[in-house]
Amino acid sequence: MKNPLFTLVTILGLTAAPLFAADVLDIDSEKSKISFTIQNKPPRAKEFQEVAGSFKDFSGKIVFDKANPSKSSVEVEVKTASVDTANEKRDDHLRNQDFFKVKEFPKMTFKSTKVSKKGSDYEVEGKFTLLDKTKTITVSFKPSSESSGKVSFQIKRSDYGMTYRVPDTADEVDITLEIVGKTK
Amino acid sequence: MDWLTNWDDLIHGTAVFGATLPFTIGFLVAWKLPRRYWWLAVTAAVVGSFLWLFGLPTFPPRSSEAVALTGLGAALVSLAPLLAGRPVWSPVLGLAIFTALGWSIYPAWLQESGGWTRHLIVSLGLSTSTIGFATLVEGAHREKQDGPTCRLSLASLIPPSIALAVLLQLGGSARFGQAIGAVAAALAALLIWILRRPNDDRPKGVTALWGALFMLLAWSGWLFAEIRYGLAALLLLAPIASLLVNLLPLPRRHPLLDALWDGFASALVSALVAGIAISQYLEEMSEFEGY
Repeated sequence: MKNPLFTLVTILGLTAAPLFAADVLDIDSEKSKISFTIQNKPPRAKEFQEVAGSFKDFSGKIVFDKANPSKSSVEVEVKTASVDTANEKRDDHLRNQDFFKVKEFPKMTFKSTKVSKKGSDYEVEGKFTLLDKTKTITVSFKPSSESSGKVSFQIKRSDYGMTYRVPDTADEVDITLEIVGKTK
Repeated sequence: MDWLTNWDDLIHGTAVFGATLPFTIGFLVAWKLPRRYWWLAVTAAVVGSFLWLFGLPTFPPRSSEAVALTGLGAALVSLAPLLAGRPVWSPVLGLAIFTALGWSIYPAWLQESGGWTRHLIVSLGLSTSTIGFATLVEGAHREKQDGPTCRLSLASLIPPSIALAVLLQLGGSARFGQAIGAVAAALAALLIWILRRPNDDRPKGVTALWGALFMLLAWSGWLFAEIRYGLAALLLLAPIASLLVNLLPLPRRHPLLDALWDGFASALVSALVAGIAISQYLEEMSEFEGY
């Protein structure tokens, strides 16, 4: 006869596992979007214009533990060469040494270090790396469903050594991540 | 210090750090130094500008930010015997130093698609072309002891430097452009003193220093930006044009005329190259409104 204690523990373990397990999701790059806006004053122009752009090539992983948010984490990796502002010449310039230096630093990354729940949102603290410079930032993640949500935050590009044309091309960049996860 | 970022703009940055600041430093330092130490004037001028443009270099140099200042250091160490006034120097040390520099700054985009062999080839290519070009221009700069004089003057080095600055700026690296602009401005400052005191000996090693920095920054334009390297290679014809114009029977009664002809020949080639680059750039730009 089997050990009844072993059987009980096994049954309890199998039943309880889904309740405590975190969801591990890949970022669905087809449905997700990483976009940015920046104010730019072209040479000889009198006023600033908003330039909107996005990154087409990115990937990432989300570990989402609803029961215990502190065990959640997120990692995003963006290929900076995929920058797209609907202006090929401008994109070429953005890829180059004055801005993203894609030949030297092909990726920018975000890795969370701490996740906590704040009301219906989640506060995510993590390390944002751009041009080989890493800074800790805190962003607010607004979930829209079990597997999707939105993050908006602002960085100062000069904090990462991207100082070209500041302030005629603004130092502040507004970044939005609309993330949709998919199960592995 | 926030207000200073206003001067980081392309036009302001070029006017200040690529021209005015290095010219002023070069002019003032050279004023008080004997000619054999004029390499110090060039060094002081470009160090001031490079520091402003790129910040303090990291060691080992891992990014393009570190190239200019570390490259200047590498050039100074490599060319030390020349700068000290010795007639003979060994390029082997220079090759070793610049190969190490090329090896350490080898960028991610090449590393991703190539192996160690290409890493070594690129590093050797950078070092041999840099030291080779520096040796050639320094040799061409020396006064000939006998026969007709056929030599490269500082005036012939300034136009290709400005043209390279244009190519670098159009290639997406304003700072490299401003850096070679700073070298040209420092040489222009020295040229004024040379013309005021024409009977002194020619400064030794300064031309080689220019050659090394010119080649290093041209390489940087390819390694870290999108320089039109075919046009950049054509710029090597500018000093040759100056040498060839020496063979023409032009009036050279005064060193000013000498510099004028040399500079003019070099400027013709440089202007042609820069003109082609600007024309190509504007043609590409015309497809994109509002940038």
